[in-house]
Amino acid sequence: MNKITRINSRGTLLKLALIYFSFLFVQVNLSAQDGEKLFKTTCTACHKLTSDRLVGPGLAGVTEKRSKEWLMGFIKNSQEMIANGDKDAIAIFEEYNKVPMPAHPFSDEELAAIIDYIANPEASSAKKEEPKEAATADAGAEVDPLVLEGQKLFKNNCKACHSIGTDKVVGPGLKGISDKRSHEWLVKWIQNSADLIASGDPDANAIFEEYNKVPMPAQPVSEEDIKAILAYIANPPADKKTTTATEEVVATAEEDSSMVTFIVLAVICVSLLVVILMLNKTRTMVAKANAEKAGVEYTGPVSLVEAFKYTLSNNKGYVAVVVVVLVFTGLVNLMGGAATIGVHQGYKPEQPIKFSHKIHAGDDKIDCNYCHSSARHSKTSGIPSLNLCMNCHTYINGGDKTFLYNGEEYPMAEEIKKIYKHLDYDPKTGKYGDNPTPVKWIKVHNLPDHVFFSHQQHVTVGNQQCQTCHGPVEEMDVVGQHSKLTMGWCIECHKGTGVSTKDNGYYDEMHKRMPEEFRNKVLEDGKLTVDEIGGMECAKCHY
Amino acid sequence: MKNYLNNSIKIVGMVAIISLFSCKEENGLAPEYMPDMYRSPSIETYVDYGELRGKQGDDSLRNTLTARKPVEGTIHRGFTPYPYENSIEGYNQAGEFLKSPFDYTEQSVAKGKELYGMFCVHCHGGAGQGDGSLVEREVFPPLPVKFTESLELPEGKMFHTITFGKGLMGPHASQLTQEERWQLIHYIRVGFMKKPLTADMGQTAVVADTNAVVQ
Repeated sequence: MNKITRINSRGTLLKLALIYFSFLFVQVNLSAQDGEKLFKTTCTACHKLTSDRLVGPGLAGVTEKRSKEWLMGFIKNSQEMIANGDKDAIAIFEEYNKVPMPAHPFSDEELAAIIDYIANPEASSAKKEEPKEAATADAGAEVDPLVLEGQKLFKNNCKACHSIGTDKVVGPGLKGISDKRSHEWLVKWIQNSADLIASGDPDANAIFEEYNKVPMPAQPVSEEDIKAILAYIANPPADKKTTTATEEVVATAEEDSSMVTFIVLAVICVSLLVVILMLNKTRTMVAKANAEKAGVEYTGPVSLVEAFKYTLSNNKGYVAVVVVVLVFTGLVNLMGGAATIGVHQGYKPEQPIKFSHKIHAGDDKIDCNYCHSSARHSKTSGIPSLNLCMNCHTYINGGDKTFLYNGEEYPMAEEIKKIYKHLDYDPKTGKYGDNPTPVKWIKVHNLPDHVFFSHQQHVTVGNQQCQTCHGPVEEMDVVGQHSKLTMGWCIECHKGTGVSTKDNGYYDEMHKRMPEEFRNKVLEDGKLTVDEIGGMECAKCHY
Repeated sequence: MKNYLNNSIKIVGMVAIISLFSCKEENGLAPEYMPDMYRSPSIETYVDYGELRGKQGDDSLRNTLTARKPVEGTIHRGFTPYPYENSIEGYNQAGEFLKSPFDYTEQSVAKGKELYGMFCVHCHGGAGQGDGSLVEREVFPPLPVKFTESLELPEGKMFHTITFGKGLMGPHASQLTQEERWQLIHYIRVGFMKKPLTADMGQTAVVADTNAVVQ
């Protein structure tokens, strides 16, 4: 006890900790694969494996440029090296504006693993043993053939009793099973669970008991097959692509069928017209022949137009009915048309940079206010400037991913490059040039000049969700105008929407000053609505 | 009789033609009647100069930006100049000398929580463990910072980081006012780092004072 209390200086404690940790890791043989894991959790925040600069320099070829000892020393404590006067270290320190790399207290084994990984990242991903590792490395890229094979095998052999989620079917859900059990254990269990139970394995017996002593039948699958299945369970490929593909097919099919209908109708119209012309000709000929037979001169209609007029003037009753019906439908149509003047509902322009709200707001779950931050403070919701894009896109460059925009697939990297181009940003050096150009975004929601609308009022005071007016933006890849934005539409909402006066000193004061009679009338139903505080006054919005 | 017939045919034709005009234009943009009711003669946010009333058709004005940078040296109302520069020295100095000018109150923490949900949660995660939706979807690397009780991070450094960014985190000064940045820090410190609400924050330890935030 005494001894421990005496060790109070920080240095000694640190040394002790280091010794303890090195003991921990000496026994563990770290491979480049662990290096990959360490690199991904610790280094990727500042470094890339390519020569592109991120926060720190890109690390491609760094192992050839510097010795292993130098690298280990620098990662462990770069400041100490700088203080000791190492020339290379000082040069880097100067180059990066004297922002030092933070010290990373790795053990030597861990450092060696990381450096091995940096020196040869492919080698490690090639000899990946654990299928899970394979899956994470390939996430987002093409689906590993191993995973595909596993999917097939799973469907054929396992799906009847297991899900790849956490749901219990007959047997347990298999999500994260590779983390829970060792690979060897799983192979033994799948190939012959009864044997494993008989051998007295505690885990196996626990499961056996848990599932009421119903054993899992021995599966006739090879070790290779199991590897594939586990890879599939660890990282099931998203079936997004297949669904979008079918959607697209449906869309084109619809387009085709409407085209076909149009052509068919046109053909019918033309042939009917030909028939009418021919009939008219025959009729004239017959009428002329009849007149000749009777010995009189034919005076009736000859051309189609004349025939038409002749028929109309002999059927005035019908004509009157048709005229009245046509006039009224025309008028109704006209009124409907007039009501759409200036109403741009459904306006959905493609933007110069194919920015998908579905990805950013829907999949990534970034709050609307993150980018449209001025909605809380000002009249306009604000189109974010490009510096905001760069908060994430210094790191996210799209890779080889693709995305859907207006029903078509585009490479992500191309669109992100447009940001770089507008900013005159060089992703290789991480430096901004001095010739930035603005993006010509197309404004979607336009209100006429004679009406005043403030986002601040609605978002900050009224606590309205963006979706109330803008619709499900998080599901739109191209944003369109969801609501009508007409006065009738505004009024409809103002009529019944309640106003929360909680923690709002303004309303407390306003209610205090109100004549009692009026206050009672307003708060009669216990709810304060927008129209009761002047939301229906003309001058509230038109001035 | 013929005249009457001819006229009625003409009327029907006209109505049909007029109702054709009510069709929507391409992209869903509707026609405009009397543009002077729609377009502002003054400069509106994000509207092309060539779209202003009286300026339509003047192609030389098209593509002129209405969103401009403020004149150099201007500051907005309520702005306090920030004395620490964007460097590691500034970061350390901020850590040492910069303290929250606003009192830690329940209101400021609540406001901070709201802001955290808007501006931080997709990377830093709901519990501040650096596992937000972006990290979960593996589009962003796991964050090196976890807001835990054992994290020793002075509030000045936090403010400096939100203002200028650090590492992969970008600057957020354009999205958050200074007061909002402090409210965020209040929430992170009280909510995740478990600092007591009225602890020694460099300022007078105060009991919740409702007016403090407003001022």
